[in-house]
Amino acid sequence: MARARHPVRQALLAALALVPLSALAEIEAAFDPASGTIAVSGLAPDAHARILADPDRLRLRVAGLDTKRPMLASFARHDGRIVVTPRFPLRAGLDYVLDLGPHRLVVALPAPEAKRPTLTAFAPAQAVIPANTLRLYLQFSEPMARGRLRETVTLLRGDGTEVNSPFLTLEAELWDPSQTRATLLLDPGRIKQGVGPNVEAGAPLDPGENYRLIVSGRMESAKGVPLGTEAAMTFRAGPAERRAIDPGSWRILTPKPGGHAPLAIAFDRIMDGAALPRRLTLQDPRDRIVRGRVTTDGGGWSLTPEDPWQFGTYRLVVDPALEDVSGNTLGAPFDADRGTIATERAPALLEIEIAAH
Amino acid sequence: MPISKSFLTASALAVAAAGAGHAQDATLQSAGALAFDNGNVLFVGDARAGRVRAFDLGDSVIDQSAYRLGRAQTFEGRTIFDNLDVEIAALLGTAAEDVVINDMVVHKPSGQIFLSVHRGHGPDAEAVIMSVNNGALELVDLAATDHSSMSVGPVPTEGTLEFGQPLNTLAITDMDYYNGELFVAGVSNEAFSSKLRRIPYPFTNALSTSSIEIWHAVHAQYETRAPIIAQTVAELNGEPTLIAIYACTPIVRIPLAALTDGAKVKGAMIGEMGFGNTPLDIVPYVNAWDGSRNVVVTNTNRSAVSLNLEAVAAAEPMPEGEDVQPMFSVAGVSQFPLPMSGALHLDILDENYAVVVRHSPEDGRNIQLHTLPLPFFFDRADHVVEMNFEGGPDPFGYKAAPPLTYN
Repeated sequence: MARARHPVRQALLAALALVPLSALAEIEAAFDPASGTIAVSGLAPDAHARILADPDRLRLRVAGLDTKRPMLASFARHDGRIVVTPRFPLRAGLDYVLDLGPHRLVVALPAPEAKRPTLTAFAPAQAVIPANTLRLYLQFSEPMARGRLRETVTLLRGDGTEVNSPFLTLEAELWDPSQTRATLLLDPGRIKQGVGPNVEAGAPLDPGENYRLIVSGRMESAKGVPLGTEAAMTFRAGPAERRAIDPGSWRILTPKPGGHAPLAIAFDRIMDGAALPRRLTLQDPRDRIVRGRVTTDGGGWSLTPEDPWQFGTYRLVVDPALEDVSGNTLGAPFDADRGTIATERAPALLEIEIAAH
Repeated sequence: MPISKSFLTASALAVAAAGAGHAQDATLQSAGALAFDNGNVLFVGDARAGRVRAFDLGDSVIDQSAYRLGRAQTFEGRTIFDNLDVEIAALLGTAAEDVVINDMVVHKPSGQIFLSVHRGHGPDAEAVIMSVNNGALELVDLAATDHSSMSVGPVPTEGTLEFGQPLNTLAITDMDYYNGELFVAGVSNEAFSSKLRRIPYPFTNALSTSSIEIWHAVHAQYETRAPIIAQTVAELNGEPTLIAIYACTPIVRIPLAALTDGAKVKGAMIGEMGFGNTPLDIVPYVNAWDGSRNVVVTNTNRSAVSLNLEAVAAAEPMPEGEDVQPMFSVAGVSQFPLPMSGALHLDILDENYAVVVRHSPEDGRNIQLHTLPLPFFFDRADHVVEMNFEGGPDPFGYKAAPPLTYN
């Protein structure tokens, strides 16, 4: 970790090493990871009460911080030792300075053993995506640190030039709760036609252009381990998609009754893969939801049922909130015309006949 | 490096435990947007939990009137803390780079300042509320308060859970209390929609959502799906009105009476703040010099501006409809520029002072908690002005004032 080599901290630790150790010779501070407490042994028993009676000289501090403020902690006598209970867990990789009356002790917590994160996936996964794509998703192998996307993610054109601020600036980065998947929102102002930023700076993506989305090796996991190597995703921008979603133009491969072969849909465009699994549901001829394994890459969707297919009419229920990668929905294209508001709809229903071929 | 392009390939449809997450656990999973009711109830946007939480701080808020905030008469603010991130890190026992200050709010009756803070950047970051109590930095003990909460996130239903966990979240961009209700705006990580959530407090489990259609002058089109980034409620001509600033950046006026559940409301776009910028905070204040009511808006990429509420009330909606060309400069209702940049969070302390968390004008690495004299949000010491020079002109008699000392 970078902070372990911080020169100020190193200097401070060096200075601490010069503190006369005679008084500390047999005094030991032991950190117990299970309880999160520090137990100090080796103090003369009659010193305990005297030390604890002077709260101004009981301090636990982070080494190397440029302030005298101690951290929140409680100090008590327990089993012949002084036990220090910090209000918040001590951070692995940091050093803490403990002042107990005249005694100064350093509690060094080794850096955490944490896996190096990798970028495992990127969506949309297709080689060609619409020039007005609204959202990109980055999937990492480990929970990542918030607040680093702006400085570590860049978008380059085929010739290596950088696209100037392609993403919407929000105070809060958009992560899933596990912080392994980040959502990058391409600036909608630059995607919409005729919009100031679009007119001034152009759309973030130009049809026909090749792009590389780069995640710098400095991107860190939540435990402070950087990717180490740069990750690059390449794609080409195709024509913009500005039509509302129309389930009527999907191709559907219907399985035979009695079997477990998947029912597969090929979309006429790339759907936003993140919400897709919950935006499409299939009902059997008795209106029960068909359970099974769904796979999708945004370009298609398939369902392998737990129970065999039956003869009859199945219904695919399409949530009106379904979005393609360009933000178009059933009711309206993202570049909305007047009266968009009235077009919010009930789910679309698509009847699928399962019959012997 | 090999990267799978088979993202999102598998998700089991049948997942149990839908509807979980409704327990009334008071532990903050995250601490974002802050707001107070008119009393001692602190609202905290907990986006990770998909909830808005209310903590009744009761008697634990403390009057701050003995704490000197500066000298407004001579345009002098007070730096309450230099290196606020370092001071918070010390108290929480971590490194300064592990401290994230997400929002700030002032408890108006007492003048006490509250901050929402994360200790760490990971999903397990501790979320805490801190207060500045007569210049002392303190951790607020939420466990000792009465707590209630209300879901604002996506309601987990069958199919919304992947591997037992919902993947969709709502980043709460702003939250305001007005007359018994909370107004919550946010951006989803999986859908591009702008629904304003209106929640009665005390929470009753009732929540109404409204879609707002606006004429977007920059986009020269009608829109329902631009997200609200900052908002406040103010009375305009006696009518409670939401003043909202959208992403990329129209200023919109909507009477609260129109925001009923399921309503599709047409907001009046009355101004444009100019493209390439995101608003941070919009906060009402009164100009004590002339008694006028105003809002101040801080920005990421532009300096702050002030909007007079009478002008906001009187502003004609901007031209709209077919044949109207896109407008992407600053336009519409008059915006008075304020000499304030580098502000990260802002709120009003009292009639004479605002408080900001900001990058110090002299050293951007220094995160300050600093007061700014009203009504100009102007601290003389921040600026190179002749009046500050020894032997320089002194038309307002600042130099006759005794040196400013603090208790």
